[in-house]
Amino acid sequence: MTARMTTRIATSLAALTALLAGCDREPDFQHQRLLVFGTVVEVSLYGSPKGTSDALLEDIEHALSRRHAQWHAWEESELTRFNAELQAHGEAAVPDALAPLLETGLSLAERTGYRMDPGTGKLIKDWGFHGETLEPDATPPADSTIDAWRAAPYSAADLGRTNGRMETTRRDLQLDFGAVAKGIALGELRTMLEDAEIEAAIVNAGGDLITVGQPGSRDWAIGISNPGGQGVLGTLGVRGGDAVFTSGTYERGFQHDGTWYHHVLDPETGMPADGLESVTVIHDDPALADAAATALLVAGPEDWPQVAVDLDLRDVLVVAPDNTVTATAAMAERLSLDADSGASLEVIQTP
Amino acid sequence: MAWTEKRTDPPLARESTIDGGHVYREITPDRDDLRIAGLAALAVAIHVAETVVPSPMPGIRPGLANIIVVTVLVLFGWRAAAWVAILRVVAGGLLVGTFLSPTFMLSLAGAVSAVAALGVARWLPGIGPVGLSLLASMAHMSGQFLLAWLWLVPHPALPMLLPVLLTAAVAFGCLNGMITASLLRRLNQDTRDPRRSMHE
Amino acid sequence: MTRVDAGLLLGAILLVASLYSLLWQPGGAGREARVSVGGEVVTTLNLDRDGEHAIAGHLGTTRLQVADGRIRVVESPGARQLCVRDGWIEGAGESTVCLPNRVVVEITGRPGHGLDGKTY
Repeated sequence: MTARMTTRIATSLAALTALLAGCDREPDFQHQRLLVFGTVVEVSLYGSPKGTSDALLEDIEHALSRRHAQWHAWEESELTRFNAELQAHGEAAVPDALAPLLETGLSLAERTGYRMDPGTGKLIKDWGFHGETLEPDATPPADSTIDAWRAAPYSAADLGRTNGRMETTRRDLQLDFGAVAKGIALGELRTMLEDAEIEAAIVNAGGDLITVGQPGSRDWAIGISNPGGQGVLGTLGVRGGDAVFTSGTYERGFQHDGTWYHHVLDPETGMPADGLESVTVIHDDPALADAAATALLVAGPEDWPQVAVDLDLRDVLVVAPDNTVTATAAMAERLSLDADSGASLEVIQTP
Repeated sequence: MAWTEKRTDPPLARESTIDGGHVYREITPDRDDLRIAGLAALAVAIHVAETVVPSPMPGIRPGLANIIVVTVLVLFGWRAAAWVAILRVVAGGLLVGTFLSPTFMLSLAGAVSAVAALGVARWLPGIGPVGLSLLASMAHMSGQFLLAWLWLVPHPALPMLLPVLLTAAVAFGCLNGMITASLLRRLNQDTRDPRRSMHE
Repeated sequence: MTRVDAGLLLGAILLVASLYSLLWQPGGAGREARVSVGGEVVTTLNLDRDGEHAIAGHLGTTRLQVADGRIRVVESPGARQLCVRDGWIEGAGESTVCLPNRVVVEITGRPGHGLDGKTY
């Protein structure tokens, strides 16, 4: 009786607090910041069953660090071992740890017309984008290196798949799934969160987000980083189950002779993708959103709408260097532009 | 009104008991004692009635029993009021079955705070039943809230509730004070003992 | 109702009104920014006190500025400068991370109806 009374009083007071605090019920909240997957991963859990959130957070950290260790493109990992085996024998068995990465990553590469191409490991290495930090005095590769790449670019399209094994005639092919690995890992994470029976969750892995459920009845409010300055460009309303991925030229790169060389490389030219500052994609498949953001950035200002159509994307937002924002009609509906950002919005109709 | 019946003096039980050579002193409750007892019983009844009626918002009740406490304070002084206030909570708790439960503790914290506030407020020159009731009600709510926050729900967002709770406390305190004032006007001529005051 | 009673009532109303404005302002009272290096909280800054602060991180010094109840990273070692680009943060629960220097700045409190996250 006494315990029940206590619980009843406590819950009713808590409910009332929530009611008054937000005029809308928001379940219990837990926030944790993890340094995994080579980035900052922020996990916010709403209304997890009593006492399970600590265990869940531990599982999340464990799952992400495991994938990070297995899928790392240049440190000792299942992937680098797979690359080495391809190089040695021209073919290799796909280990279980790599199966989801290869399966999803390669089929997405094909769907993007290899604008997102996991076969560009060598190019990425030549540009010096391996390593956690970049040297301040980094330089772009020699013209001859770029010319050699253009003459005979490596591509994941060169891989042949036969049940459980992969083969290639170009043994130096180095697979690097950096443009899609996070999306695939977050897709796995979302399944984990859904199975954990929590009411709502949002995971922000270095600026790319997945959501499960919604906090109360409102949408998630996601700010879009302003590529041209500080603060946010605007806010997106995101529904439960949506993943939000952004690919930006400002994320990683180096300055040399007054030019900014960034890490999103165009497999065709061997150079950093040109013409757009950032691309944000919302889709319920995190892997597709991740791959698409990269592919659209590579496609550039002329071609991105067509690639978006090819990928069946409804929600796309791109920012051009002059700070103009172009969004698909569906994305524009979710967007409220920040008045202070100085950005102007153009809405395009996609079929 | 049940009140008028309580006001007439019932026949007093005067019994001396002799038991094993001990002579128990004869206790003769005087008129005031009986009145206070009657008022205390009324306070307990109101308290119980309020507990049973569900409240639309947790923590908010009209606190009608405070009408009695303030009435007793004005008519019979602070000690009597303190007794009625505490008795009402203890007896109420025993009757409803919440004795020593968190609900009971919250009520007790509220009652003790209210009694303490009345102890100070009665010295304020010119204060009337409305002021007394108002301060008692706010003290009751604050004391209750403080205990709830420190002990039951130490949630950082709970203080956001305080203004809402105090709004209710001010409203009900003021309303109860007006009821008390009109009650006292009716009772004053024939009930008030000129030898006693709330400054006692 | 006596005059004193009326005065008390007025005082009570004013008290409650001021409690509303004090406790119900966005973010709540007493806002602070918690600064940690490598997971260890090194200092807590009162956002009502303007000033500049130097935080020793793993690679070098991260400089913070507090002004008008907000905080930002002015300078921090690192290639991407993400925390500097984040600009001012002010909402409860908002944070910025200078990953290379392992410096995390976060405003205490449960997030209100600000942003649930930021994509970049």
